[in-house]
Amino acid sequence: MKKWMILIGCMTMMGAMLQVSAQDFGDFSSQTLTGKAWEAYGKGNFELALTYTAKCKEMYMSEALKQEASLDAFPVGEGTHEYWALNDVGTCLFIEGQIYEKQKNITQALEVYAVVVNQLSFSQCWDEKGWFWKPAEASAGRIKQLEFDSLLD
Amino acid sequence: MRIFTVILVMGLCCPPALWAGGWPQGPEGEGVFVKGVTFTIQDTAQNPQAQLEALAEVKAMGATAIRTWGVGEDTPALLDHAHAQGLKVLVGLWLEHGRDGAENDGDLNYLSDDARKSQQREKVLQSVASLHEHPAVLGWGLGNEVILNIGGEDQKVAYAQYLEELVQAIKAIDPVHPVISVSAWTLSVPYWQKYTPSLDVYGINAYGAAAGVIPDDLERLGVQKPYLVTEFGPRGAWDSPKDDLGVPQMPSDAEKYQQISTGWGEWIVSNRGRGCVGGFVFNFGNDDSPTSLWLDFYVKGLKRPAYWATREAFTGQKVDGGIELLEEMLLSPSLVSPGQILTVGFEPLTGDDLGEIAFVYSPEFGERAYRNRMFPVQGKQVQNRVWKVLTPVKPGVYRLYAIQKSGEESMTVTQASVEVKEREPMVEMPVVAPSGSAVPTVMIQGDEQVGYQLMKEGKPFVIHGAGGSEHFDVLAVNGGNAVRTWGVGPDTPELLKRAHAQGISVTLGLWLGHERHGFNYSDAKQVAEQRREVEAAVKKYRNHPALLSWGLGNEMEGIQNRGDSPVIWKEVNYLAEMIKSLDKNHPVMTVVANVNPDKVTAIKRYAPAIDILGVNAYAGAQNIGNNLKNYGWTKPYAITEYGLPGPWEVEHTDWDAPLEPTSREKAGFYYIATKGILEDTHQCLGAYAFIWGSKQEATASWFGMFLPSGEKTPRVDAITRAWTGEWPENRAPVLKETEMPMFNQKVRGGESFSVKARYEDADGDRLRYHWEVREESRDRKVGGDQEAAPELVKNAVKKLDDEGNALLKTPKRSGAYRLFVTVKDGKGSGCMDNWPFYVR
Repeated sequence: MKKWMILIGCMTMMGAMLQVSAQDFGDFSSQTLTGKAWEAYGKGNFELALTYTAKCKEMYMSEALKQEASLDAFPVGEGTHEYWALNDVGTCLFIEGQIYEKQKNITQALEVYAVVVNQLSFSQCWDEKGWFWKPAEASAGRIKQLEFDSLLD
Repeated sequence: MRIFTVILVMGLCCPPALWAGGWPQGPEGEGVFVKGVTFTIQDTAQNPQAQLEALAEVKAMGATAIRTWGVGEDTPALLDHAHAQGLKVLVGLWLEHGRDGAENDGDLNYLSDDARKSQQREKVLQSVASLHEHPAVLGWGLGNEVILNIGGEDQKVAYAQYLEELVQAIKAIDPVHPVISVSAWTLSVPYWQKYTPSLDVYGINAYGAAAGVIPDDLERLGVQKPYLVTEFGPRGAWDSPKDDLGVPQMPSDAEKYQQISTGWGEWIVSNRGRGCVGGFVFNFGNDDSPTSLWLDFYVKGLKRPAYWATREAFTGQKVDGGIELLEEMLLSPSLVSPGQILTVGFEPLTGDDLGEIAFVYSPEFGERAYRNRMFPVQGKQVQNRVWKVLTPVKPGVYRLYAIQKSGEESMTVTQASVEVKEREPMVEMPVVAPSGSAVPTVMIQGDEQVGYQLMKEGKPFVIHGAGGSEHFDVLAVNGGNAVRTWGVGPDTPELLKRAHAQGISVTLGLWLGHERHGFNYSDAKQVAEQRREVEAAVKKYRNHPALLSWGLGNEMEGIQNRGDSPVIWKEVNYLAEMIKSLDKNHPVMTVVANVNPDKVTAIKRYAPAIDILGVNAYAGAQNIGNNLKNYGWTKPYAITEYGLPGPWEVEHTDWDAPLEPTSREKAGFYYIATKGILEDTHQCLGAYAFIWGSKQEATASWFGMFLPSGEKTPRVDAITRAWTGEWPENRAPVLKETEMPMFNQKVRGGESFSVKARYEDADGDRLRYHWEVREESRDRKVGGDQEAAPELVKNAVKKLDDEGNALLKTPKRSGAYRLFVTVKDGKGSGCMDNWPFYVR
């Protein structure tokens, strides 16, 4: 009995360690969390990706909203990076929307896309191809696409 | 080295008695290089000390001398004041001109009017006699640009001979001071050389870089006398290039500053060893006229850049903290009606608030005195760097000056020209306009602040448009209200008639040449021919009741460059202004292939007459409004072509075949784009979906919203839903399910595949399937240019049923192919999809 308990205890600890390993938040910066969310999403590990996006929102949503409130136009050039929280949280929410779409959770997808459009409208995301794209524009497009799909089906 | 230079150097180092009295002397008695300014300040009742104060400033600027043009009652006092400041004076002795010239004062005939010549002679000699002993006298400036302003060769010769008599008479009274006469450029020099040998120094008025080449010209003319640059300054109106309205372009304040501050050294001082004994910068004056704005050191008591530049030239001292100078001013439109609102912008248009600016008009027509007047006009600031001002009521070409106080004591000015023209009377065109129909007036209401609204016949009009010339009936019943064409031709009257019959408005395209097709915007002949074609089209169709606006050109700026060619945009602007002069009832739109910052900047700068910017955009058309705002476009815009991502914007197969979106995805693109575009109700006037018809471009199904056989596709249904919120009465089939094992694969020739594409019809209509295989298109073009349909591969696919099942047997010949399916409901709707594959 005691041996079994010890074994179960060890397995629980290993599981917890594996989970910690899977949820490696790195330096906890918004940039790291967003990069890890993209990576997990790309590998189809949607639950892990959602863990990173949730952590990013938890830590930086408040700052992102402050940064959004300070803007009345899209920042340009190097100035774009000054709005790091806004950019990363906006991107994380867009990733969440993409995941919910793939999980056929359309209601949830529409909700997070709406947050990006309405509350993080000046967020931007650097594309390795060499330009910034705008999560709010992409989210608005997805909302309309989902609306259209619902009309067709 | 010219002989005269040796003489001059000797003269300056060991000045002859002739020069000893007046010429500035160095410690060894050598002649000193004159650093002078021309001077026109007079004492007034309000300021009896004006001259004295001004001369103190002249001295402080580092000048050693001033120049005047004539002797008056105040000349003795002026000499006293100058002497008090240690300044020398080149005393002007005015000689009348023989005809109206720049000074507008002459009709003396030097050939025959002996009495007036004698009177003038007496006056000059009296002046010399009364002043020559004054210690401030530097020399005598006898006549100014007289030969330029005398008509007839014989009179010029007579004047030069008369001048010689005067010089000799002056020297008889005053053998000490040099006698100088003044020429516009070197025009008088040949006459002086031949008929006026007693002149000591040649005075040459020369502005800008011309001053630097005086020695070359004198050498060419064999001159062996020293010269003084008697007037120098920034490039003058007579040397300036003219703008499109024929108005000489005034150098910017920055250019003026540069030309004086560095030109003095480069063009005058550097020629000291080649006969130049100094110069006078024009002009230490304080006036309030166009000439004053161009050249004076002061205007209305405020210093102009010429003041600071001259001080820097003479002393090397720069302005503390620099001075803010206005840059280029842009007017829109540049051809306007009397009393119309003119928009005035300042480069850079997106910069900081400029603060207070005053505006004045100066006419470029009428008598000289009238042309030299300035008419203030109130400006209303509507943005940081944008104002609105009213145009003058009197037709003609004007300069509009923008004047701003810069710092505590300086003034900066910029200018642009505008033509005020009476509206051309409307000419009815009964040939085109159906009898009894009213001519509509289309206009844009609003502004950048409140947003723009297109108004047709007094009612708001949002463009629910399509690009094409067919299926107007389908457009009208599905919520569309406008079409767009790309050019006029023999079919245009019939097209307008059909559109009008369906209540459809037309943006009539006026085709402009593309350089990639061989058109050259620098070829005057081609440009003139194109202008004639545009003019003829506008005159022919301007009164048609279906006309909504003019579509001036389509992607003529180029699609594989930045699209910022000044030559092209200036021509577009010319044409836009021409159209507006012919037709006040319809706005002018130009159409570009997407936008980038350089393109938008070029359009704003060179084509301000454009009312609406039409943008052809495919992927992301709904985001163009944001891009335009970011690039500083503040006028209204329309999306003139939108639809799917083009073949150039999508992923390709390994064999470089573009992957076409499915018919369902395409419908989604149209829905999203249409809704997204129309959400911008502030600046966007509407949009035209592309293409309301069918077209072979990459494939037969990519861009066409209709099948080649005329059936509408789900894209038409999607756009109808976006426009109206309702589906059309009859719906097109929608793709539901596919099984295409060879899709995007390399397969063997002669291999068989079961394929499936199942469609649903919301109305329950019976669907008919047609399958075919075609070679991948090899006739690919850019910019929507006409492409040939690829070859059909016969008997490659067999339809198995009307449920979407078929059997594909791949062609034996190696190459790229596509499998197409066309589905029709038999009631005017259909659908087409394709799947590329490759036979190894």
